[in-house]
Amino acid sequence: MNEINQLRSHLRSSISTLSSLKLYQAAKWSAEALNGMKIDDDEESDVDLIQDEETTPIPTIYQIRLNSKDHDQFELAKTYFDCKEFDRCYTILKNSTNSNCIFLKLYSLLISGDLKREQESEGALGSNDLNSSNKSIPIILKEIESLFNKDKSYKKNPFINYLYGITLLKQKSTSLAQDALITSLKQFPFNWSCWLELIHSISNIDEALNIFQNLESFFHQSFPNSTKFSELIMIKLGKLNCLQEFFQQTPELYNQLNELLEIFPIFSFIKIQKALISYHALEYTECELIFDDILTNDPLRLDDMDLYSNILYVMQKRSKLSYLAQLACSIDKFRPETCCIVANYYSLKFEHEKAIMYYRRALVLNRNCLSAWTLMGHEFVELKNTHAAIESYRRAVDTNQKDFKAWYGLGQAYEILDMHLYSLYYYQKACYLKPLDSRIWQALGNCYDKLSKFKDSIKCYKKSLFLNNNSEISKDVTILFRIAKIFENLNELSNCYEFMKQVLNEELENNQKNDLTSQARLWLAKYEQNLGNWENAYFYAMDMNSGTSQEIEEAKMIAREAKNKMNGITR
Amino acid sequence: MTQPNVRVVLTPSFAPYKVVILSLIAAYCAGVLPKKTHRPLLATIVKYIEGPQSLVDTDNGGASANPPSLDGIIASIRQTCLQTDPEEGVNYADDIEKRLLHALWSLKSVDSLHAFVDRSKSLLVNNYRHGREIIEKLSSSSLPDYLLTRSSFLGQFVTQCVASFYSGEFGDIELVWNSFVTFRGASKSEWAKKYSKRIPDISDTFGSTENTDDFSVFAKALQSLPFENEETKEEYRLISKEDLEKLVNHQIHLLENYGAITSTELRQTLKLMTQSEASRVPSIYYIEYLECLNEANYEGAFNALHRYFDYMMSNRQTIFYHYALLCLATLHASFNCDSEAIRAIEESIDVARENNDSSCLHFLLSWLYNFMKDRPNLKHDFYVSADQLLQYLKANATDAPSFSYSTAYQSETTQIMLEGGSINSALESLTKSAYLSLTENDNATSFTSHCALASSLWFRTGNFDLAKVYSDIPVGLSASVSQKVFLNIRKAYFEFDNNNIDEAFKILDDQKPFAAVDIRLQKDLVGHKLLLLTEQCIRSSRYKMGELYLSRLLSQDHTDIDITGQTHYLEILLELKKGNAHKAYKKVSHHLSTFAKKPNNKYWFITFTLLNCQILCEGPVPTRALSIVIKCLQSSLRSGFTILLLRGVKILCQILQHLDQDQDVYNILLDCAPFFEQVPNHEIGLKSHQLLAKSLIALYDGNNLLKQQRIDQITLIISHIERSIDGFKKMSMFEEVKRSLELQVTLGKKINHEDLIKHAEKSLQTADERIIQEMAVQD
Repeated sequence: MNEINQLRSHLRSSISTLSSLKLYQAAKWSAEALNGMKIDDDEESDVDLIQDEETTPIPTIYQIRLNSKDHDQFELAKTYFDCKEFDRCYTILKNSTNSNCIFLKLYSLLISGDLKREQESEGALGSNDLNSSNKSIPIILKEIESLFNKDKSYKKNPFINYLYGITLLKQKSTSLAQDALITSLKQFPFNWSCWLELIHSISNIDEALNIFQNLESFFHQSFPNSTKFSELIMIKLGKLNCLQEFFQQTPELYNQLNELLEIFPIFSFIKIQKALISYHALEYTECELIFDDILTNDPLRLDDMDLYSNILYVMQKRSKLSYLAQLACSIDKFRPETCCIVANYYSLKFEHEKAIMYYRRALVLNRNCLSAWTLMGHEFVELKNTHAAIESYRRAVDTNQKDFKAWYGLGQAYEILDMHLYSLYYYQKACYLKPLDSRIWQALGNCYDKLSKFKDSIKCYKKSLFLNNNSEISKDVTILFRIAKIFENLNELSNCYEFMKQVLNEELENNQKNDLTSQARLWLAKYEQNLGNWENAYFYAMDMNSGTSQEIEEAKMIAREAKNKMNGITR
Repeated sequence: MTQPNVRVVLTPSFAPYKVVILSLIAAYCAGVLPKKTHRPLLATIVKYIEGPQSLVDTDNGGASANPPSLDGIIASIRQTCLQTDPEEGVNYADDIEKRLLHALWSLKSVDSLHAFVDRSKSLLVNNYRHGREIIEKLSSSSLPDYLLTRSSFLGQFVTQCVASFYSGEFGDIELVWNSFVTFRGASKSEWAKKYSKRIPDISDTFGSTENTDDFSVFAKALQSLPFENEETKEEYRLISKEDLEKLVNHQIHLLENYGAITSTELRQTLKLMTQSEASRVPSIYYIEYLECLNEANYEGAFNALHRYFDYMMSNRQTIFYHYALLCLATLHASFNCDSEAIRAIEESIDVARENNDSSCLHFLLSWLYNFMKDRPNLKHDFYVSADQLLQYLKANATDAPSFSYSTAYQSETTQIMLEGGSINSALESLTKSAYLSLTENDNATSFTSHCALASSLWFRTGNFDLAKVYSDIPVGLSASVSQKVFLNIRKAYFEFDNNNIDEAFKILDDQKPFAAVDIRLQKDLVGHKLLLLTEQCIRSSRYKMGELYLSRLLSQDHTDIDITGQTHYLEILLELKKGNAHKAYKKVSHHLSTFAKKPNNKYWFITFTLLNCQILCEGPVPTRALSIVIKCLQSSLRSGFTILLLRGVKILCQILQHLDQDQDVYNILLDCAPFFEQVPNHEIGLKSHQLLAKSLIALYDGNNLLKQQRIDQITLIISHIERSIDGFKKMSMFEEVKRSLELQVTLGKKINHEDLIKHAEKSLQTADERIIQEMAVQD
């Protein structure tokens, strides 16, 4: 129980620190985490922090300390920041040497630069969007680097490291940025924004696992004798989010999830992670129930509700999606989440232009709205505007390179344009991110097929079939037929025969009658005819009652011939 | 429970009632209703699509238009069903109502409304061939009875509804849904009572179209919003801008023509509009302006008009500036702020000229002419003469709206009448105006004003029968309230002159309810009533009372030249009757000098000149009036002012009698007898008998006549005297009765007839007593 109290105490402390440094989102996350924890009877009766500390001494985490002069200036700067006078905030702290003051100064400069960039670019989709950049980034980097060179003590401030990390990320210096962010997290693991930036910067699962391993061992080594429960919990939370983003479905992940749910039973963030893991596992109903539960406990929450709308979209629940849209609009029309929800609704209603309008709005409100770019790309595909779709998908992967849907979309778009080599590259990217998705393997197989790399194509198709089998869905006739056709092209008729038979089996077992099964039947009949297996040929040709008239006629001829042959009549 | 806050939201075209109409169209197309119900159903649909013009009955004086309500639509269906089939109509109406309510209450979410509009869209086909293709594709079970081509009447409506629904953002659709829920709420109890097993509740707002879904979580979430609780919840009333504009314009038409009071419902909607989105329909302020104008609220009208045009400017271009100024001029003119009106119209004319808006310029000048004719003394430098202006109006009428031509000729007629031009010219212009107003296929307005003018012309020329005919014509037409009231005032004058006093006042009293909506009209009505009352008092020697009425009249500020002219005429006449000849003379001289400066109202100039002659005639040297009277007679004859002519003849005869030229008097009166008989003005006719009797008495010479001739002559004189006595008695003009009785005494003395003298003296005594009584009554 002491450990839980320690976590609570750390979260409380972090809220105050993060709020003081104007890291509002991180502070909100900490506060939600604190309130999402299991209610302890002792805790409930006494929330007095000081008394708590007296009874159970808790290792302190990073706290802001200022001398009186700095304190006054810091307070003034904070008020300017709150009033959104960022340049003024920067100016008032210009000559300050206190590391926290320096953080606030540079942070306000960063935000001011972002605002100016927005104005110059006329919004996320404005005419100058791609030409504009945040001009304050080089200044911030230069100042931080000179600070680090001048005085090593500044390196001990987690927030300067955090700022250094995010500015480096904006400069696309991912590796350096990760180092800075990891340093920051080692110094202060309760900054959720820092975790998010770090996870965002990770491009593959191995890299992610390494980083988390590294962090865990750091805390174990640094504090061998003291309790590091809170820090490890933060690592677990970060890892949970990261694994979820990499579409992992391992038992370890589920264990971790349950463990965290024990500690934070009503923390919406964890519930959402759980829902998303279910979503990736294609357990939509489970996922829907979790989101309903989240809405029950936190009715006016809009964070992540766009993900809920994605689920309702996949489940084709139009009415429910419309209500969610209504609710979101009533709460706040001008939140990117709301716009995405409404856009999803319109997409489901086949009103693609309107859907695009709302996605654009979401992006104007937040240019980093991850899903909007991808979903807008899908809408452009629906409208057959492939070039616009490609641009949207590209922006999506530039914003979040872990979005397999965007990579997959790019592949599809290039496939439409018959640029299969390009398409192959993007499908490979998508496959790398989500290797257990049969659709991607199928797309890859198709690409290889088009590029006349038949062996590879067959491998991909087979992989897709294997994954399909795992998911207990009946075999995809199309894939089987494609494999058969490739074998036919390779003149491996016996292999082709095997797959054609499998296609026909699908018809016989699952009663899936379609053009492909008819074609397979005809092919088999012809094959048996050529081999002189008249009984088999008759068997295949006899039941041919779908397909084109030409095919049916051909089958009838084979059946007639086979029957004659079987009856010993020769032509 | 507290009343929810109502918020009016404007949409470009869509409104909740259109869902109802779409449902009815869908039911018709689906063929789910019996064929017999199609006629009433379509009649209702068409009525609501056509808009407010068809929704109100203008025959009842213009009932105010309202936004359509569900109850209204259902009632309308019921009414048309009953009209179509009085026996089975009730059942048809019940059937349609049930299906309609079912359709409306089946819509349970934004999505189902969306799906409903999708289904409505599927009723549309591009053309007949497209329709055939669709019918061939569909199976017979899913085939509707009718499809609608986009160009058809219903098809256009559905296309418009669908397009406006789809053009809205999600927030707009949500608003449509919320307001639709409010809109259909009126039928909640009806639906529950008649057709449903359960009363619709919250789940009908958050109801499910997918049975497995549970929306309670959304309902709870929405209720937890701070603005969604019962006390602060807003109720949305969605009104299409298109409909509201139609409604407001219709209301303006009603206000302008009938002074109809704006209905409470529309007023409430407009009031709510002004709180939020009034700038989108600025005509709301025009309604306010007209209402203030009718209430004689100068400040309110002034503010509303300015506000209206301020919003109009932002909506459109500055080209409207001169129209704004014209309205401002009208406003000032209505409140008798003449110089301000002149300033506004001056600027308006300048702007219209600058913008080359000849149509507006024509209207402005036409307005100016009408404004100036009532204010002859107003100084201006717009034009040198009215003739010149009229020439311009006639020459340029082709550039202006079609009715302008007719109006130009009407103005010319008015001008001829005012200037005392020849009756032939006036009739020529009037006939041209009649032809133009009848052939130009314009609205009835110009023809109505033509009739009013014709009535006025014939009234002046003394042909009361024709004047009455022209007064009666516009009553059948949809003339404005003010025109109707003015025509009835003229009728009251006919009756008064015909000595049907009670009938005259009854007509005036009957106009009170109509004039109640417009204070200015009310003022004119009261003015005319006071004039008749004053005249009646002067006739019956109730001078004090007459003075009282006159003082009330004089205290009012009338711009109507006829009211002011008649007031001053009666004022002088009263002085004369009271024996204050000098005072009367001074007053008449003053008015004559005013008219001499601006001699543009010949009628009143002659009237006052004749009054002057009468004063002179009653003075010591009546002959001073002789030449003036002759001039007046000539003018009146030329202008066709028969009544004035006969008044002049009367004065001429009086002068000649003073000069002992009784034979001439006799001859003149004999020649004029048909005119005296034609004119239903009793007073003048009776006076002619009196004068004739006086001349005959003077000419009577018993010695030179045979007995029978003597008897005949005396009988003739007595009959003239008696006719005048009887007539004047009926009119309560006891002073004139006395004069006739005195003639009777003179005759008695001349023929030495004691009985006649005694009878006359006795009657004189009675007449004196009556005069004393009348004088006493007024005290």
